[in-house]
Amino acid sequence: MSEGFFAGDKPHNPLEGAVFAAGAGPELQLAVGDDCARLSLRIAPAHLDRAIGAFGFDIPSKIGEMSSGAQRSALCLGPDEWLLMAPESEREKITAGFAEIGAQTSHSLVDVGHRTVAIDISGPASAMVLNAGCPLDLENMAVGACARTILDKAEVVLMKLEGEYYRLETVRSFAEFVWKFLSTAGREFEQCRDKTRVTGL
Amino acid sequence: MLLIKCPYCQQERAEVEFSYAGEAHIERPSDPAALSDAEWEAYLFLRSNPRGTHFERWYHIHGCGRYFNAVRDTVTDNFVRTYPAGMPRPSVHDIDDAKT
Repeated sequence: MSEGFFAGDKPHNPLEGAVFAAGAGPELQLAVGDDCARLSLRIAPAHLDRAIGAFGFDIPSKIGEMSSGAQRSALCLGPDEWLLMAPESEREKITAGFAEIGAQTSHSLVDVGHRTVAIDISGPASAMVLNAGCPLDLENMAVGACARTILDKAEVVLMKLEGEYYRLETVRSFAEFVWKFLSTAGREFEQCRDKTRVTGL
Repeated sequence: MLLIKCPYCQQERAEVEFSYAGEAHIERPSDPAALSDAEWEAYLFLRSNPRGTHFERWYHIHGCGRYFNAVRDTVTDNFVRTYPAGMPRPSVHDIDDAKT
Protein backbone atom coordinates (compact mmCIF):
# COMPACT_ATOMS: atom_id res chain seq x y z
CA MET A 1 0.00 0.00 0.00
CA SER A 2 1.61 3.20 -1.16
CA GLU A 3 -0.79 5.37 0.81
CA GLY A 4 -0.21 3.36 3.98
CA PHE A 5 -3.01 1.99 6.06
CA PHE A 6 -2.27 4.51 8.75
CA ALA A 7 -1.58 7.95 7.37
CA GLY A 8 0.60 9.25 10.15
CA ASP A 9 -1.09 8.35 13.43
CA LYS A 10 -4.57 8.38 11.96
CA PRO A 11 -6.34 5.22 10.79
CA HIS A 12 -7.91 5.11 7.37
CA ASN A 13 -11.50 6.33 7.49
CA PRO A 14 -13.58 5.06 4.53
CA LEU A 15 -16.05 7.89 5.07
CA GLU A 16 -13.49 10.66 5.01
CA GLY A 17 -14.93 13.55 3.02
CA ALA A 18 -18.35 11.86 2.69
CA VAL A 19 -21.16 14.38 2.31
CA PHE A 20 -24.85 13.62 2.67
CA ALA A 21 -26.22 15.43 -0.34
CA ALA A 22 -29.31 13.44 -1.29
CA GLY A 23 -31.74 14.64 1.31
CA ALA A 24 -29.79 17.43 2.95
CA GLY A 25 -32.18 19.83 4.56
CA PRO A 26 -33.65 20.71 7.90
CA GLU A 27 -35.20 17.22 8.29
CA LEU A 28 -32.05 15.17 8.38
CA GLN A 29 -28.32 15.73 8.63
CA LEU A 30 -25.71 13.01 8.38
CA ALA A 31 -22.10 13.75 9.25
CA VAL A 32 -18.97 11.71 9.77
CA GLY A 33 -18.09 11.80 13.49
CA ASP A 34 -14.75 12.98 14.77
CA ASP A 35 -12.07 10.44 15.55
CA CYS A 36 -11.38 9.82 19.22
CA ALA A 37 -9.70 7.28 21.46
CA ARG A 38 -11.97 4.27 22.05
CA LEU A 39 -11.12 1.56 24.53
CA SER A 40 -13.03 -1.62 25.25
CA LEU A 41 -12.90 -2.44 28.97
CA ARG A 42 -13.75 -5.81 30.53
CA ILE A 43 -13.58 -5.91 34.31
CA ALA A 44 -15.50 -7.60 37.14
CA PRO A 45 -18.40 -5.30 38.16
CA ALA A 46 -17.23 -5.58 41.79
CA HIS A 47 -14.02 -3.77 40.82
CA LEU A 48 -15.70 -0.98 38.88
CA ASP A 49 -14.67 1.61 41.49
CA ARG A 50 -11.01 0.91 40.71
CA ALA A 51 -11.71 1.36 37.00
CA ILE A 52 -13.42 4.69 37.74
CA GLY A 53 -10.28 5.76 39.61
CA ALA A 54 -8.05 4.78 36.70
CA PHE A 55 -10.32 6.40 34.12
CA GLY A 56 -10.75 9.58 36.14
CA PHE A 57 -14.44 9.84 35.29
CA ASP A 58 -17.71 8.17 36.21
CA ILE A 59 -18.42 4.78 34.60
CA PRO A 60 -22.08 3.67 34.75
CA SER A 61 -22.88 0.22 36.14
CA LYS A 62 -26.22 -0.36 34.40
CA ILE A 63 -26.37 -1.69 30.85
CA GLY A 64 -27.56 0.97 28.41
CA GLU A 65 -26.40 3.91 30.50
CA MET A 66 -23.77 6.40 29.45
CA SER A 67 -21.77 9.01 31.31
CA SER A 68 -20.41 11.84 29.23
CA GLY A 69 -18.32 14.91 29.86
CA ALA A 70 -16.06 17.21 27.91
CA GLN A 71 -12.99 14.94 28.10
CA ARG A 72 -14.42 11.48 28.83
CA SER A 73 -17.43 9.31 28.17
CA ALA A 74 -18.20 5.75 29.18
CA LEU A 75 -20.89 3.41 27.84
CA CYS A 76 -22.04 0.28 29.65
CA LEU A 77 -22.65 -2.31 26.90
CA GLY A 78 -22.79 -5.57 28.85
CA PRO A 79 -22.72 -6.98 32.39
CA ASP A 80 -18.93 -6.61 32.49
CA GLU A 81 -18.20 -4.68 29.32
CA TRP A 82 -17.72 -0.96 28.78
CA LEU A 83 -16.71 1.30 25.92
CA LEU A 84 -14.55 4.21 27.05
CA MET A 85 -14.07 7.26 24.85
CA ALA A 86 -11.85 10.32 25.15
CA PRO A 87 -9.95 12.72 22.87
CA GLU A 88 -6.94 11.14 21.14
CA SER A 89 -4.58 13.18 23.31
CA GLU A 90 -5.91 11.48 26.47
CA ARG A 91 -5.27 7.91 25.34
CA GLU A 92 -1.83 7.53 26.92
CA LYS A 93 -3.05 8.93 30.21
CA ILE A 94 -5.95 6.47 30.39
CA THR A 95 -3.91 3.40 29.44
CA ALA A 96 -1.26 4.42 31.99
CA GLY A 97 -3.99 4.73 34.64
CA PHE A 98 -5.25 1.22 33.95
CA ALA A 99 -1.71 -0.17 33.83
CA GLU A 100 -1.31 1.02 37.43
CA ILE A 101 -4.30 -0.96 38.72
CA GLY A 102 -3.37 -3.99 36.57
CA ALA A 103 -1.26 -5.59 39.29
CA GLN A 104 -4.16 -5.78 41.77
CA THR A 105 -7.14 -6.00 39.43
CA SER A 106 -7.24 -8.30 36.46
CA HIS A 107 -9.01 -6.66 33.55
CA SER A 108 -8.67 -6.22 29.82
CA LEU A 109 -8.39 -2.86 28.08
CA VAL A 110 -8.30 -3.09 24.30
CA ASP A 111 -7.80 -0.13 22.00
CA VAL A 112 -10.60 -0.43 19.42
CA GLY A 113 -10.32 3.12 18.05
CA HIS A 114 -8.80 2.11 14.72
CA ARG A 115 -11.59 -0.31 13.91
CA THR A 116 -14.40 2.14 14.60
CA VAL A 117 -16.06 4.91 12.60
CA ALA A 118 -18.71 7.26 13.98
CA ILE A 119 -21.67 8.81 12.17
CA ASP A 120 -23.76 11.66 13.58
CA ILE A 121 -27.45 11.66 12.68
CA SER A 122 -29.59 14.65 13.57
CA GLY A 123 -32.82 16.34 12.61
CA PRO A 124 -36.53 15.58 13.13
CA ALA A 125 -36.36 12.60 10.73
CA SER A 126 -33.36 10.97 12.44
CA ALA A 127 -35.34 8.41 14.49
CA MET A 128 -37.46 7.44 11.51
CA VAL A 129 -34.41 6.99 9.28
CA LEU A 130 -32.61 4.89 11.92
CA ASN A 131 -35.74 2.78 12.41
CA ALA A 132 -35.55 1.83 8.74
CA GLY A 133 -32.99 -0.75 9.90
CA CYS A 134 -32.85 -0.62 13.69
CA PRO A 135 -35.52 -2.34 15.82
CA LEU A 136 -35.05 -0.20 18.96
CA ASP A 137 -37.90 1.96 20.22
CA LEU A 138 -36.03 5.22 19.67
CA GLU A 139 -38.91 7.54 20.54
CA ASN A 140 -39.01 6.12 24.07
CA MET A 141 -35.23 5.84 24.45
CA ALA A 142 -33.97 8.21 27.13
CA VAL A 143 -31.59 11.02 26.19
CA GLY A 144 -28.14 9.92 27.31
CA ALA A 145 -28.91 6.23 26.81
CA CYS A 146 -26.89 3.89 24.62
CA ALA A 147 -27.25 0.39 23.21
CA ARG A 148 -25.37 -2.06 21.08
CA THR A 149 -27.86 -3.16 18.49
CA ILE A 150 -28.21 -3.91 14.81
CA LEU A 151 -28.83 -1.66 11.80
CA ASP A 152 -29.99 -3.83 8.91
CA LYS A 153 -27.10 -6.35 8.83
CA ALA A 154 -24.48 -4.28 10.61
CA GLU A 155 -23.81 -4.27 14.34
CA VAL A 156 -23.71 -0.74 15.71
CA VAL A 157 -23.43 1.07 19.02
CA LEU A 158 -26.09 3.74 19.17
CA MET A 159 -26.11 6.73 21.51
CA LYS A 160 -28.97 9.17 21.93
CA LEU A 161 -27.19 12.43 22.69
CA GLU A 162 -30.18 14.77 22.39
CA GLY A 163 -33.84 14.38 21.48
CA GLU A 164 -33.12 14.42 17.76
CA TYR A 165 -29.40 13.80 17.74
CA TYR A 166 -27.92 10.32 17.61
CA ARG A 167 -24.39 9.06 17.29
CA LEU A 168 -23.77 5.68 15.76
CA GLU A 169 -20.49 3.79 15.92
CA THR A 170 -19.73 0.87 13.68
CA VAL A 171 -16.71 -1.05 12.53
CA ARG A 172 -14.77 0.43 9.65
CA SER A 173 -15.55 -2.33 7.17
CA PHE A 174 -19.30 -1.74 7.67
CA ALA A 175 -19.03 2.06 7.57
CA GLU A 176 -19.62 2.54 3.87
CA PHE A 177 -22.63 0.19 3.95
CA VAL A 178 -24.11 1.95 7.00
CA TRP A 179 -23.59 5.37 5.42
CA LYS A 180 -25.28 4.33 2.19
CA PHE A 181 -28.10 2.61 4.07
CA LEU A 182 -28.84 5.80 6.04
CA SER A 183 -28.51 7.95 2.92
CA THR A 184 -30.97 5.75 1.05
CA ALA A 185 -33.45 5.70 3.94
CA GLY A 186 -33.11 9.47 4.21
CA ARG A 187 -33.74 9.94 0.51
CA GLU A 188 -36.93 7.89 0.65
CA PHE A 189 -38.16 10.03 3.48
CA GLU A 190 -37.42 13.21 1.54
CA GLN A 191 -39.31 11.97 -1.50
CA CYS A 192 -42.38 11.08 0.56
CA ARG A 193 -42.36 14.46 2.20
CA ASP A 194 -41.83 16.44 -0.97
CA LYS A 195 -44.94 15.60 -2.98
CA THR A 196 -44.00 17.84 -5.91
CA ARG A 197 -40.92 15.74 -6.55
CA VAL A 198 -42.95 12.50 -6.57
CA THR A 199 -45.60 13.83 -8.93
CA GLY A 200 -42.94 15.39 -11.12
CA LEU A 201 -41.43 11.98 -11.91
CA MET B 1 -41.34 -9.97 15.29
CA LEU B 2 -40.87 -11.55 18.71
CA LEU B 3 -39.73 -9.42 21.62
CA ILE B 4 -37.38 -11.19 24.02
CA LYS B 5 -36.55 -9.86 27.46
CA CYS B 6 -32.80 -10.10 28.04
CA PRO B 7 -32.23 -10.86 31.76
CA TYR B 8 -28.98 -8.88 31.71
CA CYS B 9 -30.17 -5.79 29.82
CA GLN B 10 -33.57 -5.98 31.61
CA GLN B 11 -35.22 -4.79 28.41
CA GLU B 12 -37.46 -6.31 25.80
CA ARG B 13 -35.49 -6.33 22.57
CA ALA B 14 -36.26 -7.49 19.05
CA GLU B 15 -35.60 -11.07 18.05
CA VAL B 16 -33.11 -10.03 15.32
CA GLU B 17 -30.64 -9.04 18.06
CA PHE B 18 -30.62 -12.62 19.38
CA SER B 19 -29.38 -15.98 18.26
CA TYR B 20 -30.82 -19.36 19.29
CA ALA B 21 -28.33 -21.70 20.95
CA GLY B 22 -30.07 -25.04 21.51
CA GLU B 23 -31.60 -26.76 24.51
CA ALA B 24 -30.61 -25.52 27.98
CA HIS B 25 -29.50 -27.40 31.10
CA ILE B 26 -27.47 -30.04 29.27
CA GLU B 27 -24.49 -30.75 31.46
CA ARG B 28 -21.25 -32.00 29.98
CA PRO B 29 -20.26 -35.30 31.65
CA SER B 30 -17.31 -34.78 33.99
CA ASP B 31 -15.55 -37.92 32.74
CA PRO B 32 -16.45 -38.55 29.08
CA ALA B 33 -14.08 -41.54 28.85
CA ALA B 34 -16.19 -43.44 31.42
CA LEU B 35 -19.33 -43.18 29.28
CA SER B 36 -20.68 -45.88 27.01
CA ASP B 37 -21.22 -45.03 23.34
CA ALA B 38 -24.96 -44.83 23.93
CA GLU B 39 -24.55 -42.39 26.83
CA TRP B 40 -22.15 -40.22 24.83
CA GLU B 41 -24.54 -40.24 21.89
CA ALA B 42 -27.35 -39.15 24.21
CA TYR B 43 -25.24 -36.27 25.50
CA LEU B 44 -24.19 -35.12 22.04
CA PHE B 45 -27.28 -35.61 19.93
CA LEU B 46 -30.46 -36.58 21.76
CA ARG B 47 -32.69 -33.66 22.69
CA SER B 48 -36.13 -33.56 24.30
CA ASN B 49 -37.93 -31.68 21.47
CA PRO B 50 -41.13 -31.24 23.50
CA ARG B 51 -44.50 -29.99 22.40
CA GLY B 52 -45.12 -27.20 24.90
CA THR B 53 -42.73 -25.89 27.54
CA HIS B 54 -39.13 -25.90 26.34
CA PHE B 55 -35.99 -24.77 28.18
CA GLU B 56 -33.55 -23.27 25.74
CA ARG B 57 -30.45 -21.09 25.44
CA TRP B 58 -30.39 -17.77 23.67
CA TYR B 59 -27.47 -15.47 22.88
CA HIS B 60 -27.90 -11.69 22.88
CA ILE B 61 -25.28 -11.47 20.17
CA HIS B 62 -26.09 -7.95 18.92
CA GLY B 63 -26.62 -6.55 22.42
CA CYS B 64 -24.88 -7.34 25.67
CA GLY B 65 -23.15 -10.39 24.16
CA ARG B 66 -24.30 -12.84 26.84
CA TYR B 67 -25.93 -16.26 26.83
CA PHE B 68 -29.06 -16.73 28.92
CA ASN B 69 -31.83 -19.28 29.30
CA ALA B 70 -35.46 -18.96 28.30
CA VAL B 71 -38.67 -20.90 28.84
CA ARG B 72 -40.63 -20.88 25.62
CA ASP B 73 -43.84 -22.63 24.62
CA THR B 74 -43.12 -24.39 21.33
CA VAL B 75 -46.80 -24.39 20.39
CA THR B 76 -47.61 -20.72 20.91
CA ASP B 77 -44.03 -19.38 20.54
CA ASN B 78 -44.67 -17.44 23.74
CA PHE B 79 -41.62 -16.64 25.89
CA VAL B 80 -42.84 -17.46 29.41
CA ARG B 81 -39.72 -16.09 31.10
CA THR B 82 -35.97 -15.66 30.72
CA TYR B 83 -33.28 -16.03 33.37
CA PRO B 84 -29.47 -15.73 33.54
CA ALA B 85 -27.33 -18.71 32.53
CA GLY B 86 -26.20 -20.80 35.49
CA MET B 87 -29.47 -20.47 37.40
CA PRO B 88 -31.42 -23.68 38.12
CA ARG B 89 -34.28 -24.75 35.92
CA PRO B 90 -37.49 -22.96 37.05
CA SER B 91 -40.05 -25.23 38.70
CA VAL B 92 -43.48 -25.92 37.20
CA HIS B 93 -44.88 -23.63 39.89
CA ASP B 94 -42.57 -20.76 38.81
CA ILE B 95 -43.56 -21.23 35.19
CA ASP B 96 -47.28 -21.18 36.01
CA ASP B 97 -46.74 -18.02 38.03
CA ALA B 98 -44.94 -16.36 35.13
CA LYS B 99 -47.77 -17.30 32.75
CA THR B 100 -50.43 -15.56 34.81
